[in-house]
Amino acid sequence: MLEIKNLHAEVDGKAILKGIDLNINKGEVHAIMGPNGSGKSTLANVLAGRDDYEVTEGGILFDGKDISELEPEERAGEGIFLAFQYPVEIPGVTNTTFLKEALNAQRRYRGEEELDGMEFVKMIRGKTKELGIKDDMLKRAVNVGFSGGEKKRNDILQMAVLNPKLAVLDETDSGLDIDALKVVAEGVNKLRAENNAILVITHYQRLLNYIVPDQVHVLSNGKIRRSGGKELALELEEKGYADYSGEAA
Amino acid sequence: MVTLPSDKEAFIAHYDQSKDRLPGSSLAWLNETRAKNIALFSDIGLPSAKTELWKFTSLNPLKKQAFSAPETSELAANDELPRLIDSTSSVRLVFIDGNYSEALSDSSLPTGLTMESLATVLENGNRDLDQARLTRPRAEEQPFVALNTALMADGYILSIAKDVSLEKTIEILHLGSGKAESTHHTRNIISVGSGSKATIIEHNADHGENVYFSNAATDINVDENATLHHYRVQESNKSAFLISSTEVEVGKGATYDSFLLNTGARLARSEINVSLAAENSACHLNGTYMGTDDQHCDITTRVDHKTPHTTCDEVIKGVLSGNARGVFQGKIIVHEQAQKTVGNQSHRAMLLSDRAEVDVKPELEIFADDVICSHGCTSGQIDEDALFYLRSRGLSQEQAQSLLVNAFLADAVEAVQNEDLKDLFLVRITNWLERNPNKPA
Amino acid sequence: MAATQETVEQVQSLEMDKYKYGFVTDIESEKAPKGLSEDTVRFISAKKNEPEWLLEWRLKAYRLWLTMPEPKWGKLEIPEIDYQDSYYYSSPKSMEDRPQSLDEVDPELLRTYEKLGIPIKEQEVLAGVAVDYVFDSVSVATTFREQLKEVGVIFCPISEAIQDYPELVKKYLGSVVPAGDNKHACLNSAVFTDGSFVYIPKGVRCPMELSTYFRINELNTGQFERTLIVADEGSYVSYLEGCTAPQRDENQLHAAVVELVTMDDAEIKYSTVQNWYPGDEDGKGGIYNFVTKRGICKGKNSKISWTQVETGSAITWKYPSCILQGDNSVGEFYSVAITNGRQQADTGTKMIHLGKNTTSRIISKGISAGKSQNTYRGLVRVAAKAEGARNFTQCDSLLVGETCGAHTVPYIESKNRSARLEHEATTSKISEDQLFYCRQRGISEEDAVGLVVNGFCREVLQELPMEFAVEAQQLVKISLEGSVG
Repeated sequence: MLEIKNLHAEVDGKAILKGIDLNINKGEVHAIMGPNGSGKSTLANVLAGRDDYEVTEGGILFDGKDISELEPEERAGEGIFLAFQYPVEIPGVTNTTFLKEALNAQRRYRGEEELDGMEFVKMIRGKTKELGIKDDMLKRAVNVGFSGGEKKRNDILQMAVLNPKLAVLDETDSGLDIDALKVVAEGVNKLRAENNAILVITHYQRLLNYIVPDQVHVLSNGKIRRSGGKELALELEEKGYADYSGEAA
Repeated sequence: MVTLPSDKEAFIAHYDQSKDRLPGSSLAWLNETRAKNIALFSDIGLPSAKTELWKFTSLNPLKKQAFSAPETSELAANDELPRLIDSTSSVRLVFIDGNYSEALSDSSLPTGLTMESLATVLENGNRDLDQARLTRPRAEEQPFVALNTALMADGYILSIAKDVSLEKTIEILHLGSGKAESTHHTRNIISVGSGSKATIIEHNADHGENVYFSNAATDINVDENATLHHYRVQESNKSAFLISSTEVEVGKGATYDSFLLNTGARLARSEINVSLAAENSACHLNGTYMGTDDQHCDITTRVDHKTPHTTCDEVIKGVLSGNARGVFQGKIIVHEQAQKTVGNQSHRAMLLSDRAEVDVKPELEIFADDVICSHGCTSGQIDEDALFYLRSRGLSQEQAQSLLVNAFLADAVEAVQNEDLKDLFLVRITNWLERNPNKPA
Repeated sequence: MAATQETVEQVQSLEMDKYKYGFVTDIESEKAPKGLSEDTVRFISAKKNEPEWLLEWRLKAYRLWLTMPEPKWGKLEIPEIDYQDSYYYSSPKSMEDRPQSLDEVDPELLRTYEKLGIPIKEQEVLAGVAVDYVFDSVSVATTFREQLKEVGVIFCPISEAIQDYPELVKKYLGSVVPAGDNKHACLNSAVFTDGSFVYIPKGVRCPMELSTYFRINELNTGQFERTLIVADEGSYVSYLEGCTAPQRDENQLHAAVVELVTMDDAEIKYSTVQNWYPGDEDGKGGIYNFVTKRGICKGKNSKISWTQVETGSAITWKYPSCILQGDNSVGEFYSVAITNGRQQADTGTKMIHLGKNTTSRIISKGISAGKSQNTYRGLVRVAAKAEGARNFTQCDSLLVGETCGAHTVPYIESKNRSARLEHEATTSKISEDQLFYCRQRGISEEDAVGLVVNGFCREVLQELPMEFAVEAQQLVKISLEGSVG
């Protein structure tokens, strides 16, 4: 589904990603781990197509289509979802309005019928119930006045509503206590399915206790240094990233 | 002795009478500058209620007053002079009725600091004098600066060399001798060399309760990576008229940090214009004012952000009782290219009497998009609930009020980094409250 | 339309005296002679068949106008206005030319509504809005008037009110905005042609939203409507005003005056959505919107609430204000002002606290894009006797793009110690993070700007009556088209 080939990218003229190769198939969960400054968040932003993140070499194929020149909203329409490390507050815009705008924009992009008000409300009620999220959250402005945990859960709700093919979780665990972490992981697990894939980006192993990956990759100094099964995460937890610091230097 | 009513014509007449006796009258360029500025003053005239920048400050009390031109200043004995900071940690310059007194000033200056009196420099025809600094155009049309330029007779020219950290505070005493109803126009220049640090504290105080009019203009340059702490304690007598305008140019990575404690004068107008024209330049314009009886305190500031990455903070707090009137006008201008500007301003006033008045005009003028600017203003009376709470704990109305007002003002003093000076300001706030116990309403 | 017929006859009779009035105009012409003179004023007054006192009032205003300077204090660059190059009265050519029903409204206007997502007919049917259309100077259609009459509400063109309710008009006209208030209001007093008159009797809650659509149609025509709303004791009315104008190369002057009066326990809610033609990208054409709006809370416990969404006009100069005279009276000002292209807006409010325990609230949201300049200018004044006055002001500015300006100029004057005044203002850029977040969820950049700006304005938009709110949200979005990317 996602094929990253020899991906080089820079920010403000500074090379951050230095040749990443990564394949993710349908139904798989991959984890990317690495020390601070290794390029983890850059990879997430490059996949989402954020301005100022420039791909200088290599490419990204998504379902066989080269997406590296697409706008962020077009990539979203293709089915890429980014759960933010710091979900953004949008004062005055309710969650319902935001989700409806987003969902219908994506449906338009894919040439699907837009949902009308009634259909949308029915659908979204189903999702909140499934995720155990209170409906009053829908009336609140996007992430405004939300606790750290609420913001992350809100991102998971968006993910459930938008039903992406590939969800990229960028340090979703940062700043969460263990209970909030469990709730978020539970939400992600409910969305795991045969037809979609998940890329978990994290510094710590603990999230992977709850979202169990098929493959773990170690990113350091802009390159994947090692790949393995879920046991690799445990090894990193024990030994830290010291073994990879040589390559980082 | 010449008696001067103080309307426009009187000032012009004063100029005509005294121009040949002003210091530096042998310098052609200076005479030309003076003539040009009196003409400019004549064009603009004295500000009226229609002058936007003077909308809230009426000059009528000043215009009604007759002044005499200063003859010679009588000197007082050294031990009678007020001193804010102990002589071991400060060096003091003394001005009596606007004129520098060498005899009363400390003679030995720390290394890296030079000081000259403007009168001396002009009389000697000093070629090193930076003429441009004396004639620097101002951001706004300022009739009193023009008048000052035409009539300037004395002042200080302070220079701090490069890379000097002055341990001693420079204390400048502006004392009214109480001898004459005079008018004086002092002109000051401060230059802080790159990488240097200095603290200047100016002190306005008087012997006696007489009327006088002081019109000061100060020009300040803070060079690259330098820091100037510029504090002012304005405690002139309640008949005095004080108008001051300060023009500040802050260099790259430099900081101009000012604090004004204003309790004196019948009318005090303090105008500060800061130009942040170099990257990472910053200014802090903080202060407190306290007014009672017929006092009028006007703080007018203007900060021009002209390049990217410049910062300004302003926190002003005021308390007014009696018939006092407080005015705050604060303008923050972010010019087109000044991206990444941060400008925050706050003014809080407390009215303690039924006849006190506060007028406020904060202003944001923004031409760049990547900025974070804000201003906040409040005005209100003392918190009645807090007052009742304190009284229920046994404090008298006056004590309780004093405690709350003190707390309100002390908050603004927090911005002063120097602990000794912070204490000095706090003590003065407490003293003012003791001297002016507000009658319960 | 009997009144109009009478007017024609009246004016025809006047033609006999044309020498006396000094104008030589073909009476068939529906335009006053170009330019402004006492004759123009007399022509208008005659066309309207006005009583002598009103003609005198107009003439007095005109003579005063000649002596008044242009107000210069706005942060606006206003080209010199040639008052002689405009027509001051124009009515649709003939009865037949006028829209007999709403279906006959200019398709261009309808297209605008369509773009806003609200076909005008649907809007009316849905909302049950009584609409008094003002096309240029003459009010051509008023609906729902009979229904309103039953509860005693008077809602009619002011020209009719002058005929039918002269005492009411005489009592209140110019009582809130005197002719000499400012040059633009003075001009309006001399040459106003039409507008709405509303009177809500004691204890009546107006059963429907009252609405007027203004529209400048004729070339070179200034529009000078005058609105007067009086809410008697214990009454309530919500009044909506929408404005549009087709594209013209020339600048057109719109100098309206609105006066509101509330008695004890009465409330007026006045909402405006202003979408006059803003001129093209280079600043050519567009309306000069120089409007004086002021309300007086005469009675105790009365309330006046202004809500405005200002997106149009080349230049907007407008300060809907409240004089809080009655004890416990309340004034509110909710404003969204959006400028794009080369638009200039200088708008805000004045809250004058005179009575005891008076309260005012100001929420202003300014959005500047393109090469525009947007200024909030406001005054909060507490008089010495306004014991217990309260004001809260929040002014936020949002900048979209590097070449625009956002300015905030509040004046706060307090002469009473028990007054509690709070003013907060912020200015910031539209957040890149917010835009990226929206785009990552699939929303296009332009829609994301619309969404974020609508969120920024929400506090104000939610003050609008429901049927206007949707339109306003669309308008906010449309106004910012082309401001990013």
